[in-house]
Amino acid sequence: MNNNYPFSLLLLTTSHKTAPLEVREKFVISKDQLHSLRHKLQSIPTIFESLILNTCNRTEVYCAVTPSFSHSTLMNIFCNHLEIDSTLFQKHSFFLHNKEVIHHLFHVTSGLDSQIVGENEILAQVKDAYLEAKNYNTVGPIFHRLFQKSFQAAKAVRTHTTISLGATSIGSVAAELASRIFGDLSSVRTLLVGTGEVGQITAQALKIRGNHNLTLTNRTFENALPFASKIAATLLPIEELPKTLKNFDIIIACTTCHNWLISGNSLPQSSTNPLFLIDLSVPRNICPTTAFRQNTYLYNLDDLATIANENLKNRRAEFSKCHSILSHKTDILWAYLNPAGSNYPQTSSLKPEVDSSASYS
Amino acid sequence: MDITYSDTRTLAWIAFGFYAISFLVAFLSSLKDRPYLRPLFYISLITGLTFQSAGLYFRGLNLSAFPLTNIFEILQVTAWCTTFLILVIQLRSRLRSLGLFGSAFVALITIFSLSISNFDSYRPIADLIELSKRANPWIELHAALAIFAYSVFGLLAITSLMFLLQDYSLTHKRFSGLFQLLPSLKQLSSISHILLLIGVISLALSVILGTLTWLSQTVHVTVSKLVCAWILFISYLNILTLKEKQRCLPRSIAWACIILFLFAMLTLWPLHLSLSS
Repeated sequence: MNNNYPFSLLLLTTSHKTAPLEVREKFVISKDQLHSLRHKLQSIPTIFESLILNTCNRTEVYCAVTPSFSHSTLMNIFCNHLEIDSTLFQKHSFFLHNKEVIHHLFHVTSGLDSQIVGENEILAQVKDAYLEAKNYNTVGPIFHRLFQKSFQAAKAVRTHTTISLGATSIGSVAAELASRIFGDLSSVRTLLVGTGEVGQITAQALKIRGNHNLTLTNRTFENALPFASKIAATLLPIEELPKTLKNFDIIIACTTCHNWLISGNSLPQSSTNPLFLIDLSVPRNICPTTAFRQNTYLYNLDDLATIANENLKNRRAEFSKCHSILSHKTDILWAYLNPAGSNYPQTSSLKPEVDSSASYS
Repeated sequence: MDITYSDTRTLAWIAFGFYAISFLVAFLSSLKDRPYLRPLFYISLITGLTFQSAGLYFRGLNLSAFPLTNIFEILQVTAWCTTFLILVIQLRSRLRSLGLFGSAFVALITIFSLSISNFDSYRPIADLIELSKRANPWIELHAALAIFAYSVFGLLAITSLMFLLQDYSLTHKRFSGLFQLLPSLKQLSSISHILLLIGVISLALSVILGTLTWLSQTVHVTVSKLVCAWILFISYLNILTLKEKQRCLPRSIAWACIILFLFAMLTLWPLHLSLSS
């Protein structure tokens, strides 16, 4: 770190890349802890600005500090305040400085550092963290620029590359296919046969996309009750399955049954309405010959996994393109913020006023 | 400023240039699996439409009649109506792929009308004076409605093609490239339904007007044209009925719409012969 700089950017980070789930669980910060840590950082004169990003996959503390500020101080403040085992935390975390911080933040907001590459949720989470920090007045001119630019970088990456294109999980692939067939899913009638885990995930993915007309049937009625109430699905006795099949637009089969639950004979001869059959069972529950039925689209677990993997591969192929866009943007921002240049904010105006009246609700 | 007969062709060439640009914008974007630059696409399409409108307007002034006196003009009006419909549907439903297919379609029609000089034979002034004397507003309305219906059916053929491609994509599990731009089957089906309805109503009015004029003034309407129009109308009405009553599979309806439009295009040939004679 160059001590001639009137301020330095400092980042303390731990994420899914450095810590397994069982370790990350120990670093989870509650709302109250977050609030008090924020205040603690704000009260330290050598920290001009700070922002805490706390999601299920990452905990990051962004700071603009005096050049003489030691990163071990930040580590100690963080661990002592949250009563975390500092040795364990040290083992699963790392520090970044100045330009590396910008580069890292741009990758985070663009979803390149996420567990599912290219996902959009992280952008909203960073925006929330920024707004909260703004509300508590812990960010000033440096972080306003840094974070605004990171949102712009994320947008640029999504506009100029296909990093966030295509679903990458079985559930979202099935939901995306359903949207390709039916468009708006709100009035689509969906039947879930069985309560297998993948089936539940798929039903939830459909519900998230606005599909509220869900029906659930299971051999053991009692086992289906908790999930049915969770997704607000109607329960159907399994005996009524054959005669009610014609009433549904999407049928998801996810049972451990060893026979064909749905075959060509159990479906009406032909229909002008499309039928989407999703077979998530192993062994399969829907006879493959149903795919020959007009206006019927049959997908099994392998088909969905192939599409998900293909999408993931496409996203990874875009990685280098994203990286070069973000590197270019990092250079531009660093040239602006770099105190060796003429544009950097003056240290006298760096420390935001402490707003004790800010709402912590 | 005097806009001559050939100037109107220049305006049509410029319109083609802009349609081609809008198609290229949409095509190159889909080739790179990226959403196309919407403002650039719309600006070039609207500019193309403006130049084409100007060309048709001045051609109408030259003719002192609605510019539907030869195949060139018919194709130009068809392209104009199609572009207008694309813009209306695009702004309402935001179907990216309709822009791609639609701009290709209008660019093709426009260049086709310009490429064969025989389609736009020069008419001496005496002919034009004679034409304006004979001009019958009912016949012109009949022709305008028929061309509008042709444009609607052209667009219907495009949405039907998109339906078949989406169906192929879902059946064969192929989703890369162009396929990922396609709208849902339901959306395409409902747009096709609206287009079919508009097309059938327009063609119904056109054939009724044409038949009534033929009954009163047989000299103004050729029987072959009227028979072709009636065949088309009955066929499209039949498709609409089957669709309304859900008697036919959507895939078959899509194929029928494409085949019927090709037939509609073929009927322009006897029309060309009758106009040139």
